[in-house]
Amino acid sequence: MTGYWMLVLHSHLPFVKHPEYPYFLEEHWFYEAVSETYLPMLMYMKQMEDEGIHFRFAVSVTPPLAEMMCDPMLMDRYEKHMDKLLELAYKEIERTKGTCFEHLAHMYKDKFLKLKEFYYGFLNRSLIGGYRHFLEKGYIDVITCGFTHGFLPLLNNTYNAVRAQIELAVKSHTEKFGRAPKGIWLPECAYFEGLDKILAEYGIRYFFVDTHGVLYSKPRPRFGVYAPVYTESGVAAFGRDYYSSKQVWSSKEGYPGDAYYRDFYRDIGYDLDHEYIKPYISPDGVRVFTGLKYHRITGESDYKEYYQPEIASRKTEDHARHFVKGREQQVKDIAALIDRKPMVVSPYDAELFGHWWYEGPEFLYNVFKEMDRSDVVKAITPLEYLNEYPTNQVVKVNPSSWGDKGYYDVWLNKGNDWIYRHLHFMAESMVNMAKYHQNTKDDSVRRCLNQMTRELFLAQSSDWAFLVTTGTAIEYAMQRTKEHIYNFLRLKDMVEYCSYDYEFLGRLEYKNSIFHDMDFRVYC
Amino acid sequence: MNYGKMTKTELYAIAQKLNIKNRSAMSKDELALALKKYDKTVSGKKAEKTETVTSHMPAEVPVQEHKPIKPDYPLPDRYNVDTVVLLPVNPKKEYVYWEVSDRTVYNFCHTHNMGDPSFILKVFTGEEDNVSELASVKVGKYGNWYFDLYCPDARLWAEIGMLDSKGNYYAVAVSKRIKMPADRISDLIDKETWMTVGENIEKIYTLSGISDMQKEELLSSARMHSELFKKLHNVEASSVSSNILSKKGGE
Repeated sequence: MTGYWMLVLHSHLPFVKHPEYPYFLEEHWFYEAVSETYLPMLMYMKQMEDEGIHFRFAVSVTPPLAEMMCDPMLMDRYEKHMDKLLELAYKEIERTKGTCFEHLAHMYKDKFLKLKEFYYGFLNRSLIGGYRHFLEKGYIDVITCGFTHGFLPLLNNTYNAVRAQIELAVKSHTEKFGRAPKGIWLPECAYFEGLDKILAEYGIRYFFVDTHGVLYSKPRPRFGVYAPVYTESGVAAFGRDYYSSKQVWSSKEGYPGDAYYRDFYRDIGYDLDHEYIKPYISPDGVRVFTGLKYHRITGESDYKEYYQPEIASRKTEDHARHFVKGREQQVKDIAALIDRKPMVVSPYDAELFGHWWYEGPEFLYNVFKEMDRSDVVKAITPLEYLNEYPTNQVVKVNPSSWGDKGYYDVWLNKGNDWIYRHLHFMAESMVNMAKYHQNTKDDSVRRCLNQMTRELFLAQSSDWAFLVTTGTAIEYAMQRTKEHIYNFLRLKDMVEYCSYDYEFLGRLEYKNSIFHDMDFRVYC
Repeated sequence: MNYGKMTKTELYAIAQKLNIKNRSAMSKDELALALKKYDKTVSGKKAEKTETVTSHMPAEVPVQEHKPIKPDYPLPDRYNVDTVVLLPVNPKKEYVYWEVSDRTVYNFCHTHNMGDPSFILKVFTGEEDNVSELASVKVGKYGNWYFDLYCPDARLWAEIGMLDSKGNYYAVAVSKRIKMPADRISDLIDKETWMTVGENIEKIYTLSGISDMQKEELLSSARMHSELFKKLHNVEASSVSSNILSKKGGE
């Protein structure tokens, strides 16, 4: 064995839950990700376990995502969503009889049936349980994230705000996965000087940064990004490898752009007759993605050929071989220069695999299968690597993120800079009020402060600032930010004037329910 | 003002602006009633018709703004506190926002026996005994500002202050000190690095992608999402044509 490959999948969605509407478009982000990414990945893990294929990686399940996976209302809606999809697939089999699309309709029906069987069978309706299973076997390391994916460098004006993001993350993770997290995916890989101390305080042993987070550290990192570095407080930082990222991320040269892979945009939700598809799109008639897509990427133009799953499947094998070869070459080149086994860190958004890139989970399965046969490179988890090489260089990691341009621009620009004045004021108020009411016996005060903590956490999600910058779901993102700030200020008024609107409070407790055991004293 | 036709959220928003006591516990009708009462006490019967504003009216709350606001979550644009915050955007850019409270301005004017103070926003760098001022701009009582100070690795902070009539500067609030990010490989090499990898370090960096990284922008989820979104938008725009296409193919 010459070196190691370290896959990191970052699974995250913002907390979106709207009991006040029977159908809510943005809730479907979650349902789609479950069917297209989380379930297929867990199924492949099970398959690898059964086939005896060696696989190792780190996967984050962020606290908001874990919360949603455990939310009875959302999971109930998800189960209904899955039944509806299956119903649509059966209808499609009828409709496409005798056409080149018929076997595709069958493909979806079979897939949905398999997902269902796996979900009700092996998983016993618990996605978290699935991750726990592989975590306990030692195949994967499940890591945490900021409690609501807050962009920590921009929250750092109030020390407690950053600490609360970490403290609650560890608490929520421990509750859900049965053990404290050893690693963390920093929200957006965003690091600032001093963050490592807080991580160390909560028993976190490693985190990830972008390539230049390690390369620009001080003093110079002696192994580049091919070995972890330690911060002064002894927490390890792993740097992203540029080339392996590019092979998957690049929209031009990346594997997901192959002409034979399934096209993301051609979806029967948009394509078919309105009357026919109506029960499966938004009830107000707005067309949405259903997940049933019959075409392959084909080329740049609008002309799309129909999808041929057998060819796409073979492509994932070719790409997996190509990917593993690339890693073999990389570790050979670098091993000649250093006195230890190098590691190549490849972090990706988990939702890329399956949701955006339909064949992604199968590709990863084939990568592990191929790598299992390699005697040059082997998959490894961060903890395994640290156990093998417990001694590493101590540096000051460079403040950075994995966003566009590598720093904080995406989350702080003219479109979203107004958010921070509110977030900082709220965090300061929270600290003051939490200290003042620390020993309160008044149930109304306690409930209000706990809910204020939740509203502040939800307002802090980096997703809102991100969506404003990328222009996706901009209105929803603005609305959510404002809603949580507004709720916070109104609850604050209630406490300060000792006059309570219990109906309002109760509604928020049910709707913005993230973490049932919330305790405002996390802000003390 | 027709408070009767407004929603509770709208009424609450106005009550918040006017700082009506007990507002959070009020029902919709109570809010409307309280606002009516407020209008009577503050503006008087005639004030609505004439344009005179009585001296009791806070300057920030012109009565004309009570027009129906669209159902929204109205937020204050400031909190009436003394604060200044500096946030790094990248090694070449910093964002600063600040605010000086009414009370601080009032006390300052009272002490210095003056009317209209100027507000000065400053940015500093350095360590304890070696501090230098990088920028100083005249600003308003509250707001925000982007600086283009190229300060990789430096420690920066901002300060908001006021000038008295003689031009003396008084600081009001100072921000936290922020370590700015670096934008290149450090010159600092520890001894052991030389003993371990020596001249190979350049090769290691090349293999790490150091030159390619600088040639093109880093790939990122943010860019990917926005590219996907652009494509998605095209699809929606041409959904009529793809409808026709699919009928041919799909049926």
